[in-house]
Amino acid sequence: MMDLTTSFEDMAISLFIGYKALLISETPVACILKDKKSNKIISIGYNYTNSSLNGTQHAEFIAVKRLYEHSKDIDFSNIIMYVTVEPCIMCASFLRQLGIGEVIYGCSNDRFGGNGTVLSVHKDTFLVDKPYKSIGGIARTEAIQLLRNFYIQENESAPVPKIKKNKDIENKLYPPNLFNLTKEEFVDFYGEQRLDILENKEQEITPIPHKAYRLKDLISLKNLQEVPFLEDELGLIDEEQLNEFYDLFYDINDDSTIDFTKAIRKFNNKKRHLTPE
Amino acid sequence: MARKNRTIGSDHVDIENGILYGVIKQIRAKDSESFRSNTASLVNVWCCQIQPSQTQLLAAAIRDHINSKDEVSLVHLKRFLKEEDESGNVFLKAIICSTEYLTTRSEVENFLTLHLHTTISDIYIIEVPKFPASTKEISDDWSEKYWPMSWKGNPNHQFLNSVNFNMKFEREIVSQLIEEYRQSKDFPTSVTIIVKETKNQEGEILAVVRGGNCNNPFEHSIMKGIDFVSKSEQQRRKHSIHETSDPSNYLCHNLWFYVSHEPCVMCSMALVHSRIGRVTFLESSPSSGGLESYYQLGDRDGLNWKFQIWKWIDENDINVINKIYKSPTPINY
Repeated sequence: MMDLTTSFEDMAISLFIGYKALLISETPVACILKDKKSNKIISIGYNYTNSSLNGTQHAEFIAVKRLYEHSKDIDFSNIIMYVTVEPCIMCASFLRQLGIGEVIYGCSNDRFGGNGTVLSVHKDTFLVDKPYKSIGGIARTEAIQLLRNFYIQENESAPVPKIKKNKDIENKLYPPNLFNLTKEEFVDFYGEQRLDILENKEQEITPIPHKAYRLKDLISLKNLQEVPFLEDELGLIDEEQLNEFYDLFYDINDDSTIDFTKAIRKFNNKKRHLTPE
Repeated sequence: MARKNRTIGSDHVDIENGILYGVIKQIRAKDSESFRSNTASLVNVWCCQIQPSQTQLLAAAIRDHINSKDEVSLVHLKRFLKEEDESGNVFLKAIICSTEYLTTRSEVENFLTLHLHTTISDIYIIEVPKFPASTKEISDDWSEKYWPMSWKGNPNHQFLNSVNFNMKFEREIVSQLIEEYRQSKDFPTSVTIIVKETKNQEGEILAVVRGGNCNNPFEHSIMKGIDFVSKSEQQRRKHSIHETSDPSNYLCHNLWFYVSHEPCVMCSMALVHSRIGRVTFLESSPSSGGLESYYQLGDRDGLNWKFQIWKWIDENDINVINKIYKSPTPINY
């Protein structure tokens, strides 16, 4: 049995960092970098395009830049990235040029995805650098739900702000679960036991095959307070904030389907905290 | 006859090869749906039925309240279509706007009631070609299949004939680019010059950026240039007395980028994210480039931004670039 609990724990941390980015009006996409040997988090990143007025300041860049500022001589093949959303075409090329060891992501990036959804920059053989391994689908619905909480707001920095009409995110369905993986690649990472999910595209990956999970059980306040750079850069974390974060998401059932019976909340931009439905 | 001559092009335009002034070559997606495909990519639009007497009012309302705001351009379509019912009464079908601009039926109803001063009940969605057709034959075919199109000639030919460069300005920038590149002759790097258009196809130089060693993606001159523009804008906003920020100062909105080498995939996509107006590069990067060599970023349907891509093909200039430094191995610029 392939137990993916630690991957989910790592992704849950990235999701929470994404939530902290949302609190400072950034697109909630975030990542952590883990050293494969020490198994420690060595950097974090979150979208920073609005604050910086720079459209290239994606989570992946922020996380890597931090390491570079320390040392120009880093072996990226020993580093694994957990990012909530599939890297865009720009970031996919960036990570490939660095020689990143592995990328694990949550949901697909339907508009700009460079790891298989729009283009396959991570592995197209005509490009010069060595391809890298990329796996999607860990905590996918949570990554999507976090993004939806951002997109219901209006992007005030765009030249002509668009008025968003569809704010009904509680009742929105999720797109089919596509993995951008061959059957062999899927089995290699997720194991035979989860093959039904690759085939029917309607279910979600769970830490233990066919066993329910919720984010709440994956990370604690203490875990998050230990994440380097997080509180320093994005502010202190308390139980109340963590609970507000948990309340944004549906849980996943034993049969790998989404538990839509749970009442979730949505993020309120104006009040800077959550409002009940 | 005069009209026909115009479609052949002015002296400085080589329509067949997409080359202007003999040295500026247009780079386009080979399979860009917007220009070449025979299969129409479709878009949903709101359609309604009105009386012939209401045509003027509706045309004015569309002109004043829709055309500048609807992000889906429908100028390649005829707006009105005359039809007759069984008893010989003439009525008109009209395209109002895309379903992206007005998203619900009630919004369309309100729009029509407001401007026609009466309630229109025949409102529905139809699919029409999203882009103009590339040939007269395809245009006729689509008119038959979907909705009457207005044929104004090959859209890219029209575009090429409409573009003007100030060649004195262009040559000055290219010379400066090459001089700057001369400064870094020992390692693979690129130079970027960023220009904000002023008037008469001229511009003001915002940044001249020499990259570091291209083996480090942070050192690419385009990434450094984008960073420079954002930092200047941060400073400007910090020191600006008035709170109101100029809405056109958004990312690198509509700026012109001049680059010594075809940018890598990362930098090409960074230009898309930064919403630039156009890019001109000199030397191609056949193993790594993201504009001409692979993917045609910047001229790709589906990404949320497109820009003009030009390649400076003056052989003398390209030779100078390659004499200064030519990487022995494939490299991401």
